[in-house]
Amino acid sequence: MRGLVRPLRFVAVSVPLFLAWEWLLRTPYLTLLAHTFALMARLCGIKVHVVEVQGGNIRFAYGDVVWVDEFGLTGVNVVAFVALVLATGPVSWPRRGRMLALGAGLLFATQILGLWTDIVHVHLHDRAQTAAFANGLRAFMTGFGTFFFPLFIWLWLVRDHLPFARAPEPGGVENP
Amino acid sequence: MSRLPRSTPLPPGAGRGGHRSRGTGRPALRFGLLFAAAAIGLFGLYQVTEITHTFHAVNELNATLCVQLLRFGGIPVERSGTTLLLPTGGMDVVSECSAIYVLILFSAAVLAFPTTWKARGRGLLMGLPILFAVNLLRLVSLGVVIRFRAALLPLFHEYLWQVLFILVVAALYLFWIERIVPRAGTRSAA
Repeated sequence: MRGLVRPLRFVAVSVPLFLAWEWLLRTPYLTLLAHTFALMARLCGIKVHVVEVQGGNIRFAYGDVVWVDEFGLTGVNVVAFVALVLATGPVSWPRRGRMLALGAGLLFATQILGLWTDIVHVHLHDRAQTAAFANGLRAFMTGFGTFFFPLFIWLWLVRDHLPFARAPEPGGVENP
Repeated sequence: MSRLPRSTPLPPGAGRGGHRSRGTGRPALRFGLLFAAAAIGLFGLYQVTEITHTFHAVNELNATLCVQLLRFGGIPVERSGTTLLLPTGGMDVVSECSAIYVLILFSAAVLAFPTTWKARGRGLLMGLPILFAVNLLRLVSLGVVIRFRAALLPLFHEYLWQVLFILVVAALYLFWIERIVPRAGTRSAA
């Protein structure tokens, strides 16, 4: 398991990836994300429109509510995930490609879910009894989720390299 | 591509095709479910501290330590509550700046891994202070950026916080598994 992630390789790939994200990929990616979400919402009968995607912010209109989601701060977890996969040591390149495709798809799905929590937030945040839940759900998906989902997905994709089998059950013996 | 030796023998196909093996499937699923459950539970606890405003003390601690380190480095800075005031700009140390998300993430991953409670305790005792210290360094580095190149703050803020911190958690977690989690089949010395 040693060498499962190579820190130097992570830094070496994440810096150019991040710069590419910041200057080239962020707006197209967020535009795709926003329109996919809006299309899904409309298919579900919820009239959400993308007003603008600019500077890492997505501006949505829903009914008489317009809100801005600073989703660039969440969407950047794509960079972290791709860098993690590229910095994964003992996997072949074809498998790495499959990990990237599957993982990026799953991460995209979690980001869409994060935008759905905006709708929940719009409905619930101004009622005293549900405001805490609405704020917490949104913070989970778009704040904590920024860190949780890339690592969770990556650990899942490399699960056959994690030594589950070698660990004794709780209460078992330990090394001296 | 060089292949590193693995500490556990893998079944045929693992590491090449990415197929789930019979040996890791059930423990991996259990780990995944426990990881998610622990993350949700710990996040819920954190939310309670936010609602009751008790977490504010952690933000104040971070702001205080950050100011002291910046002053130690010769950078003039004042503090007003959790806001740091530098000659070239300011920085508000909010809850998200406290590394709480990565602390929860690391804790959940450690608690979910199938091992002894002693190893989990050691992991938390090792990992949480390190993450706290790394975050403090991050805050100080952001203060330095504000002082000397304030225009670059968004780049540093997003990269150091969102991207690099995931590497730190992953590396720390794998280090814990490799060095502290006991191996099956080992026996303690008499």
